[in-house]
Amino acid sequence: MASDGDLVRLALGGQLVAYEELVRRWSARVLAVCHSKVRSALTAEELAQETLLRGFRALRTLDDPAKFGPWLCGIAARASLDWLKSGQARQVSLEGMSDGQADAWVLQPGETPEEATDRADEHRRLLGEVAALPEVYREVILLYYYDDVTYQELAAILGVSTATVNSRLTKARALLRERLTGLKR
Amino acid sequence: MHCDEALQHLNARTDGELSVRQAEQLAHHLAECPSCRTAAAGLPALDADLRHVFASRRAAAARLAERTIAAVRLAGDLPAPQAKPFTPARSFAWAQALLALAAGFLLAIVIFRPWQSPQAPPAAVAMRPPIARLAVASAP
Repeated sequence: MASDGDLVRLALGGQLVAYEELVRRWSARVLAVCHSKVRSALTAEELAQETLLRGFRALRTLDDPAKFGPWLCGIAARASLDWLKSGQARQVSLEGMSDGQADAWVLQPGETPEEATDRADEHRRLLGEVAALPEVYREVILLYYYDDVTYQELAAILGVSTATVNSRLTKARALLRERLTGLKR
Repeated sequence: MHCDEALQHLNARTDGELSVRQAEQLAHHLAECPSCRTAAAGLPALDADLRHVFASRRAAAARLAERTIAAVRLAGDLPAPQAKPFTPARSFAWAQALLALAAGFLLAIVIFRPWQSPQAPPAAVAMRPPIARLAVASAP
């Protein structure tokens, strides 16, 4: 499989299908970064698309092609912060984390409407608790569950060690368990 | 092993990130710690719930990727590289460099004065006749 650096070089050489592959690889992670900052799933999708297109337009300014992912996530973080500063964030509540969850309301095979409602409520509650996490824990949870990432990939995106990734995921899950069950370990 | 470290190992095991050595250490700790065994029992369920909840978000990310690719194809090509614009800050930096160079040049001229001919060596001191001669006593 071609590395990110190889794909960037191919894209700079005129092969746009290479950038398409980069988009497929990084869209989930970029979306996770935006979602962790703005909390609204729908707003995060708009910002993520804007980020991916900005990356396309600014690709020639990337100094190290191998660092495409962290570079793109940096653009996503700045776009999200700009949106937060723009004042539009005041219109989004914590429940915005669960918008875009239309699939949760679809009946599963063998499921009664009441069970579907309960399941949707559980999903909304879990996403609400994720939204309520401190940002440093919310970010790592979203990045981990939006895509199949390893600790090493997460560490590269966040600019921390794999031990720190492990520590943050551990703490994030512990906080979620406490809030969901009301139990303290 | 402390329970805090065991919890981190439990999470790493859930995520498929635990080494063989760490797995052995964890197994030894779990055999002796009921509290961590309880935490171990609940972690896979939470992980499964989170994966299930985020399945629709992953699908949304895939749709986002396809929308973005459509936009990239419409764009046609990467934007051409742009020349760096001339800015007043950059011209000021150049002026400072030229002034420093000129100042150093003037200082060198003042110190070394290349228009002056080299000084003649000092005139040799005229030899005067000796006042006396040292007479060396000879042996008897």
